[in-house]
Amino acid sequence: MVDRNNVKTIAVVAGNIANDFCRDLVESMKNSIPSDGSVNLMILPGEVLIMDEKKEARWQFDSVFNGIYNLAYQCEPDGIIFAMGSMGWMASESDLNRFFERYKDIPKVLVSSEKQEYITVNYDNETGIKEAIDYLVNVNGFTNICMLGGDSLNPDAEERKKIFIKCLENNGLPFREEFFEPTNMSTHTEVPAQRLLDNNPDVQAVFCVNDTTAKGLYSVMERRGLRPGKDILVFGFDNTRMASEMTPSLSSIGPARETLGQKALELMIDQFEGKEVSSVMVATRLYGRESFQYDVHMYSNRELMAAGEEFIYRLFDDCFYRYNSSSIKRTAVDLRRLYYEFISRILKAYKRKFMPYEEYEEIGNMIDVFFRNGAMEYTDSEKILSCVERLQNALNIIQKSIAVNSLINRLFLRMKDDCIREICKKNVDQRNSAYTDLKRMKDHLICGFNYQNDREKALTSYFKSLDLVCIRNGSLFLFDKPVVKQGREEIVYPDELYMKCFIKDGEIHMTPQDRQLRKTKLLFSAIMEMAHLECMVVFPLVYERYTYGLIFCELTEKTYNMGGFVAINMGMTLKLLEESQI
Amino acid sequence: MYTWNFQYISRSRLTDTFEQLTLDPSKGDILIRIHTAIHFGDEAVELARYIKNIVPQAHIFGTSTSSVISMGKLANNQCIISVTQMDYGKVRSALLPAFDDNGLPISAEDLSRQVADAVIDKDTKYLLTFLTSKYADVSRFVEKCNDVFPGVQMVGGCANVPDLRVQRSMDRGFVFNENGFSNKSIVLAALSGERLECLTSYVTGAEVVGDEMQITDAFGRNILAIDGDDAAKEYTRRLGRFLEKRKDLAYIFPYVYSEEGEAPFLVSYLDNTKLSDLYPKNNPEYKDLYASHENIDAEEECNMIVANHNLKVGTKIKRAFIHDRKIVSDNQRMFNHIAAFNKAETLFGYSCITRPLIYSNCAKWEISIYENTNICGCLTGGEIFFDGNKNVFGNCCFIVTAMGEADEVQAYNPYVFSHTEMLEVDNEELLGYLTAMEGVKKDTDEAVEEFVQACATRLLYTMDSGLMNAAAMNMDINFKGYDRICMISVLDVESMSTVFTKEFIDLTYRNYIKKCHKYAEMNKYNIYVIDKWQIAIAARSYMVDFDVFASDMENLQKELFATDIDFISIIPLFCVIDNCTVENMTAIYNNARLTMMQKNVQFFVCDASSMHVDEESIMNKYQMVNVINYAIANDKVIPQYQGIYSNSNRSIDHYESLMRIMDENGKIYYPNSFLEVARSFGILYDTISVMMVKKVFDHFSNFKDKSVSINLGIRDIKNRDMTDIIFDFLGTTDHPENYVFEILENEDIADYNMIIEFVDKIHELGGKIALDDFGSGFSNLQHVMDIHFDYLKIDGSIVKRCCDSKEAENLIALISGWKKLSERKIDIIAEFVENEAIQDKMESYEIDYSQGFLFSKPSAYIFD
Repeated sequence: MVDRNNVKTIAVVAGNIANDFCRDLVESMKNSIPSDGSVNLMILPGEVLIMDEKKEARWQFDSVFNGIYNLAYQCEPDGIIFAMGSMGWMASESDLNRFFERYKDIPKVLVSSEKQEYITVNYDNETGIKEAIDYLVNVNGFTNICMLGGDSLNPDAEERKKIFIKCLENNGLPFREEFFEPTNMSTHTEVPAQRLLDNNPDVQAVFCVNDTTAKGLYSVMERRGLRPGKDILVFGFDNTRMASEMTPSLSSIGPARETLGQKALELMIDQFEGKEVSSVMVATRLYGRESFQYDVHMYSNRELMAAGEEFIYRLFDDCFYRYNSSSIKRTAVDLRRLYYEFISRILKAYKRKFMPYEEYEEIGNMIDVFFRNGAMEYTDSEKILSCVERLQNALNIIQKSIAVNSLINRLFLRMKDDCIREICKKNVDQRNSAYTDLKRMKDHLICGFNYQNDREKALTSYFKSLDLVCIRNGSLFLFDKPVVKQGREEIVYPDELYMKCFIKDGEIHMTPQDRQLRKTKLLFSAIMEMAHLECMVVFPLVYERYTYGLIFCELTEKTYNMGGFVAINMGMTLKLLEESQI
Repeated sequence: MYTWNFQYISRSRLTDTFEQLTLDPSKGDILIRIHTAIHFGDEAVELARYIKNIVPQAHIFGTSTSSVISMGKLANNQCIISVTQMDYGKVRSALLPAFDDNGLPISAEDLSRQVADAVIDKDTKYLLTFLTSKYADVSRFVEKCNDVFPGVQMVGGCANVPDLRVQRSMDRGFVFNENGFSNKSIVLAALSGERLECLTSYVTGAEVVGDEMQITDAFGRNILAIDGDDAAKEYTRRLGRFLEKRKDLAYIFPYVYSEEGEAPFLVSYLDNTKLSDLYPKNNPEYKDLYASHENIDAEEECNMIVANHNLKVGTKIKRAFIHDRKIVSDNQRMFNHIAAFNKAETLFGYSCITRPLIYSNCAKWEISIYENTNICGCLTGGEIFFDGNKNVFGNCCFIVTAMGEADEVQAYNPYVFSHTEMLEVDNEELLGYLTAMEGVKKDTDEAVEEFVQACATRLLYTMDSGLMNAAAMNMDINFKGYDRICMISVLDVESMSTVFTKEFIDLTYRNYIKKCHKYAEMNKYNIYVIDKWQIAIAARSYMVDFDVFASDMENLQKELFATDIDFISIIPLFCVIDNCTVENMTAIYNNARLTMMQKNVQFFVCDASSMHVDEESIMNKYQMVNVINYAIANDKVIPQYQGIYSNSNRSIDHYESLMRIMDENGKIYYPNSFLEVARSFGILYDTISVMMVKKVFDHFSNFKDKSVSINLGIRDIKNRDMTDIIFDFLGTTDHPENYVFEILENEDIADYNMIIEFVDKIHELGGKIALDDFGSGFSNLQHVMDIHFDYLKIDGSIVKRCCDSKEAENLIALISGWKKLSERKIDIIAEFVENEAIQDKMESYEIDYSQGFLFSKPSAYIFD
């Protein structure tokens, strides 16, 4: 039983959660929440609307920084995790110091930060990059390896560049300036990518400072009739979901075992428990995909025949590389064990040259269960197909018994079928839900324009349409008066705010007038208790200088993508509603 | 025919007994069997002679044994004497040497002829035969007897003596009669007569598995080769190398003669033993043996398997194992035979010395079927018995012979068959073996796996429903990853039998099992029958999402709830547990059941890995018990008094007594820390409560103008000691009106009349009653109406909030208004009046009394 008084609320100050890196980070933190429910997470995502000029970006950043992040301060969480990722560097040193100063009394963990004086969690950039470069030079014999880097102000990008240079030099390849091209680390990297290819016509491999950067390179290469993985090997960093979804799939360096988010939360909980903690480096490794075929380990027939426990688990970890790093809901099907069970049964039958028909049926059933329970979440189609193929080929080299082999091949076929079916199903589901979401979003927007002479009425009917958007659990708060921001100064939210409605399991409940008042200070814990959730995200309803309120939502696939959008839209609509009354 | 059995106590008792028996040798012969576990050879002969003196015509048949069977029990350290008086038939008896003058065994053929010459007549029907284990060729001997005197039922075995070491107890066994005793002889008693009929049946409990094999080489009692392979190797290969560590397990896995009615014979597994140790070369007895195996290296240390009698090359054998269900079914079969035999005047029972060794409960259990009969016999080492066609020698059997010359039915005890639980305990060895084998499965070969499989399929299923049992569940949890378990039990099964017929209950039970089984099967879960009415359904965490599993179980519960006119409505309790292990399962389940009971829920979901028994709270509880005990022993139950301010008199004349206890360090404990613990050990509560009341009475009997409130729980009102003290005091004190008894309103008042009775009695004696904590819990206003309270105490939680909350204030106004309307005189007391603001409110609503820190804090003394 959870003692509600002992539940700790952690505020997570994050970057834009629609961004793949940030999303993986938040997701892995969410998945690592201990099962006893002793910890709650409130995600505070900051969104920077990309501007071309740096100055503008700074201004934008300030508004985010002083806006939503201030909420963390006012709501008095028990601990705070700074996971600003690629946007932390935009804040000035003094800003940051002032910011951290406020939280001096509560436990803090900083993700991807250079600040030595705090507890930090960082990628050990070197292990992964070294693994990749060494392989390229020593195995492929490459000499022309380039890098599509980041802004020199971004410490992470800068470090990766340094390591890149070091790795080249360690392999006897002197670094030349034209090997490197800086970018803004977003998807808009065509121009520097073009430059890089122009300057290095003989380039054999390109290291992209993160996965996003590779997007631009991909499109430039496509225009020039070059195929990643065939003409030029490409690999990124962070091993985000996006990497596996690109065509051809992008090889990427990512966490070897634990992720940044997992580790950060772990450190936080250790601090709550009064343990001594110190900063942690998370080891990285290269995940090979089409753009750079690479396997961590080969296996021999002897290993296959032994069918040892350790060996099969290694196969699983290799193929379902995301499984280990995203901690799994304890009540869910234990896919790792399941994989072990059916693979070991297949190998055993192979060894014994005998597979009874019931056994065949049972294994087939296990394979179905395996894929039905979301095995594909932890790998990508490319990876699993090649893994299955390799295993199948290895078993077919020596046909110990034709009957057993044909059954085994049918089982492998079943794996592939299941895998394809799951992918198709996911795609169809996604398309369908994207379509309905769009339609419902439109309806919701229309409700917002349904001005009536009575402002309250108009607002009520607008809020009532909140169930049309993608929020299944959450609640909406408005301030008495919009908070107006002047220049670069901080936003101070009022001590009290009004809960207009809450959404429970997709059903909207309007709060009666006399029960709307809530204290800002107690907001985080109160709201999570009300929603029975362990992790929520909050977006401000902003329009220009005005902040009208806050919307809290459950963290789902849709909130990652749409949450920020919905909030901005609401801010806009609220502004319009206000204007229309004047 | 009539048989008396009695235990040998002393010679004088013996004389008395024989005098009482009206033995009449003229009517028929008399057989006196003596099975002794307390006499040495010469003593036994003395005894035989003594009896022979009393009954000169009797035929005496004596053997040593380790335990005797008498009155349906197995008894150590006894000598049993069984006297059978034939009405028509004849008895012939003999004690023949089984070894010749040179010390060599007489050949089986010769011995059988000598037996025939000595005791067999043309109408001999039954031959009681005992040898000693010295005569190794017993198997051949029995075979020859079949040829020499076919149709005679033989029963007997080899005599043994009480000794923990089986081998030694066998070596020292002897047979005797009044003429002497010997460990190299054969004792015989043949029964004949036209009217005599006998029926012999036997039980093994051995389940045969696997294919037929042949002994291809034997050396005396040793089996050297089976199907051409080294026998010891074959034995371990099938059973797993595990056997090398647990040699005693060999008893559970005998071989059976596949040709001879499947009589089992046990083998022992010996490691690193020399043949020459077992068969000394200089012993002339073994000369022929060594002659037939010229090339054998008797000095080599090797592993071997040894039986207790000589084995013949070419014998067909099969592998077997002994388990409870087979024991029960074999016994059932034997019992059916015996019970159907209508000339059962006398029962003879012989069981194998190894039976109690393998399954200690089994031997006791199966003999108890014949508890009320005149069964008499003993334990033997190896048994000779008639298997229905011919006589055989085997061991590990339980043999019962029923015989008689006239119709007679004995009082059997078939009730025993419905109580087989104790046998399951015996299975632990076998289960231990299976578990160990599962654990090492990886390095064993298929032969072992097959054998284990064969054992498992017979061992892991319940008898009546054919579903898997608790042992199977434990194995599945351990080895197959079934760690999501739903325990289903049915509440209040006992009470069912008071209203419904057995058939109806059985029908309901079968339907219950069937529904669960079908549901589990449909959803591909495993189902186990743990106990009558208790079922477990299990899923593997790598196959089924726990949430899915739990919701499936919920559906099953709904299905079981669904009433059907054909069956009794049952209330199944579901407890779904994640992360089960064999170790944590029972504790977690019991814990969960407790919680379910407390909360009165029928469906409960929990996670074993996060649900740990709260050791700290248990520790605290026991510490508190110590403190309470200390307080009781050292008179440290301390009343404190809090003044209650009268808003009309503007003074404090009334006090509430509050209980405190003190530990040896002088630390004061408040009721919220000890009362619950005290209640859970009811007697502690009664004691401190009575102490408290006595002290308050004592204290206030000094005052005329001060009154006091005393808190009473329902338990106190039920406690006769307490009420007697109160009534006595009120009856004798000068000012009974000064005592107010506060009854806690929020306690569950079940026996309502009892309270009314108590209240009336208090009023009668001049005391007063207050209703405590009115407004906490869900107040039953009917109580307020029916019980005549003099005071009503508004719960502090309402009073405290009356300044902040309009609702709370309204409630106080309501109570105040109700008082005004009421025709009864009731004074209202407000608790927790902490500040002036609250007091002002109270006064504005004309509340009669205020109690709280504003006026007085609890204290051990009363201030004016």
